[in-house]
Amino acid sequence: MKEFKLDETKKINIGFKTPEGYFDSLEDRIMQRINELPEAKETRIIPLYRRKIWMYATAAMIVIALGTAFFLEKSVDDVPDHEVLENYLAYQTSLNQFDLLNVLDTEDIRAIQTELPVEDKDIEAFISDNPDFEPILTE
Amino acid sequence: MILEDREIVAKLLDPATQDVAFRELISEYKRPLYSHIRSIVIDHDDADDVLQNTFVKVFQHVKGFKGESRLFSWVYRIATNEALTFIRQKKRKTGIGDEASHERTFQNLKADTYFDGDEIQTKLLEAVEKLPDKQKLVFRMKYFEELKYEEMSEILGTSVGALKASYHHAVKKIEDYVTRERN
Repeated sequence: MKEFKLDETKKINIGFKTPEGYFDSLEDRIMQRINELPEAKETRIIPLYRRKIWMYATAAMIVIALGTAFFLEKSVDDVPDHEVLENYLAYQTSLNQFDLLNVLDTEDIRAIQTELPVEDKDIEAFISDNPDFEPILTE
Repeated sequence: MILEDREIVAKLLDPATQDVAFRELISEYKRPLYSHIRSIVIDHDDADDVLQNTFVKVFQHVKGFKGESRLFSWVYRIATNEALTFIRQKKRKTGIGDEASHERTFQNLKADTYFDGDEIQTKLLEAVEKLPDKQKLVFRMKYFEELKYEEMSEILGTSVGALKASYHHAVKKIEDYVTRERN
């Protein structure tokens, strides 16, 4: 039986190709997405015009204020519980560890830690059940 | 923060230079980041989505970049997180386990228009797909992308010694698998 040895074999390339011209238009496509981000739009200054607009604006403000009061009163009952929020974050969003680290401060992380007491024996059991940790232990 | 990174970040944060600086950043990183992401998600369209999301996140979070690692490692870390998150979500959405997921990924790869691997490339990728997640990632970064252990250590937050051990285990498993399959 002839043994396969990676370092005795000519370098094997991964063999992936891209559609023709894929990289040429990438900058434009990404810049377009960035310009469509809510934070990019917020920075635009929208001038407030005079005269009749104030009348419309005042009327709109009254409607919004009444609508908000109604919505807030109603939405108190609609606040999802922790389990629903956790499931949403885990399954329905593209949030990952990097995003969460960016929004959590040291206090938040400390609060999470105190809510998750882990026994030493549980850690040992986890390590022995997960052989991937072997390289770290042999360090 | 090293001087070069500080200059790039300053340009990225200044509204007057932001657009040009970000285009330059994309130009510099697009090919190596694409290869890195593609080796994780395998499919071209998925890699395109993840690559675009990565650059959008870099743009959104660059003001929080503290220079604790090099910009290169920071950008790679975002790309790695995005790609791994994408894979996890795809598995959840399809509701299939690891073994079936590897099989499906591999079948899709063989049918992929943008893959033209020969027999040994195909066998190698098949063997890599069967590795545990961490070894898979380490093998791809070392063998295909030819990153240095020190660079990988900064990106993955794992010690050089542990990375070398992971790579060694991965190579052994791959060699055993390819030997079995060819005989």
